[in-house]
Amino acid sequence: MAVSVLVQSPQKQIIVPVRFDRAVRGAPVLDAPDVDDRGFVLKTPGGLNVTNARGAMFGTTVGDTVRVKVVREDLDATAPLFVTAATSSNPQVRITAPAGGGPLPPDGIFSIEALADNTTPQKIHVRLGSATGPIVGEADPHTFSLLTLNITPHIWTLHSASAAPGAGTEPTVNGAAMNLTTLFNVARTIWRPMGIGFNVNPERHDVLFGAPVDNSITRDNAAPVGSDADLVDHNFVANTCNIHFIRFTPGYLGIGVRREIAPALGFKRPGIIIGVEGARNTNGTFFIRPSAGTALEQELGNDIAHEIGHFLTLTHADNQNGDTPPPDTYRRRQLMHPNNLLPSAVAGGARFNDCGYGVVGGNGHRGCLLLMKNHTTNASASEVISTRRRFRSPQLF
Amino acid sequence: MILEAIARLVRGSSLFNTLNTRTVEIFMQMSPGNPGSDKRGIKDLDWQVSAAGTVIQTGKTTDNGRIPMRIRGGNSTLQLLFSGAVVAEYTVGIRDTALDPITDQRGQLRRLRMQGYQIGHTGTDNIGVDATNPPPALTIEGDRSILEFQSDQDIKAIGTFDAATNNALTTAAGA
Repeated sequence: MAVSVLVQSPQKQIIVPVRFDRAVRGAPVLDAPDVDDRGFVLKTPGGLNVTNARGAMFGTTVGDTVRVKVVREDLDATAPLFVTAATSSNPQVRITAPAGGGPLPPDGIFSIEALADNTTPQKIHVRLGSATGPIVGEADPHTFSLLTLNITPHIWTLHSASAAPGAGTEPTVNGAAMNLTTLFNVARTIWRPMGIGFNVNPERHDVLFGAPVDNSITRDNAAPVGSDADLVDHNFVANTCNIHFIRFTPGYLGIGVRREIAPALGFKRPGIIIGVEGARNTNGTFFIRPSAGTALEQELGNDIAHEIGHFLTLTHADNQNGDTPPPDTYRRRQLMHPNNLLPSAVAGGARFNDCGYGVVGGNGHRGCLLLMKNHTTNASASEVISTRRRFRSPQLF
Repeated sequence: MILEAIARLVRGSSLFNTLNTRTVEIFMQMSPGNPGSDKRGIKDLDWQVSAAGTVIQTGKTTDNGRIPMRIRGGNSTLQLLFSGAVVAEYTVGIRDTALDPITDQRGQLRRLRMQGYQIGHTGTDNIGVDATNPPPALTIEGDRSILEFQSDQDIKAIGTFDAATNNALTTAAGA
């Protein structure tokens, strides 16, 4: 079916037939990375190979094969399209499906294998008619060698009693004992396109007596026993990112503290704390996470990934915190948006509840996009570079 | 707009010519916006233009992707070819109504569309602009296009048409 065009007299009309997109919608999928399609201009940050492509940028890890989608936005749905990797003496990627690069199936999805992390830039081309046809669209893939973050998970039982037996219990997910494999798989999926993976050590089951209430702690810079600032000091495992899972966090759902920030918060150690079931408000009431089932697992996995982002130096999207959450679709798509679940579109001034990762109970899931492009008008940019460089810092742990 | 050459009638003829063919410029590009020093046009694209079932033009694009397309009657059909076969079609018409003001959502969307931003195909003309007044809420594609335009123009991407965005959009669209 022909595409309609109405040329505004006496002006010219530009037609851009295709664009690149994430291959799926809804929960993050390991082989379907989000693409940084924030504008067509690449704005490549220092540290990444530079091409003259104009289109989406996306990341992959050496050895992975991922799916990306070509959308025929202003082109007939049946137009035969092929995807090719630009010829390179030192290729970073190759197209693995469809064979020969095309024709692409109706859904526009192709597969690309990440071959090597090197300094030779390489573009992806969408071609019309054949693998040697005219180039109608471009993307900019980047292949990363895998960096692995060592993690020690702590599952806490917090008792207000000063000695055993106590009345606290371990956090649960969907009414069952925590399955950390499920949750960390979500977090892995989100970080994999940046070439960052996790080595999760065996989970510790830790117990604290003297908490202010059963199952929760306080937010206190003075770091008394039973505060967040103190909890991270307990059973600290050196040279790992210690992630503490408790039932109810104090006033927030998660916090990620890197070494340089720890003193300002009174934290005795860097670390992450996640409120698995919710948060305890300052007035003593409890906020219970409203989602359940796989939606809750997606939410918790996203929270883990988000706090790891803080641990690896990232700030909230555009440096806007939860008191002024950014309402635009770009920043709601970011992993580092301050809220999860996202504020409702009606109340928060956003246009859509769903930023591409699904909706639960009227609220959108926070997105999983980690930024590659370096938009200098955004206070947080090119997150891929800052997080990967963090692995070389003596301050990492 | 490009004027088309019209043959004169013979001397003394009582007949007259009717100018019913106009030419518009279409630019096939890999990305939206006016090119600077970069090459974003789609090169080596074989094309033909048909009107009333007859092919009236053929050509191949150069590196600016430009197609000077003749519109006969209400519209013509631009066909992209590969190995001689038609692989894609565009039904192209001309809108002579004055461009809506830049402060009007319809004017903003039309300018984004002129620049090649992919604002979808809703609305009575199937070009992503709904002519109803007041305009309906922006579609996902419209929302995305504002953000893309702002990003491409180094304007803070907030997804709303602020003064900086409107000024840049007016400049980019040339109207």
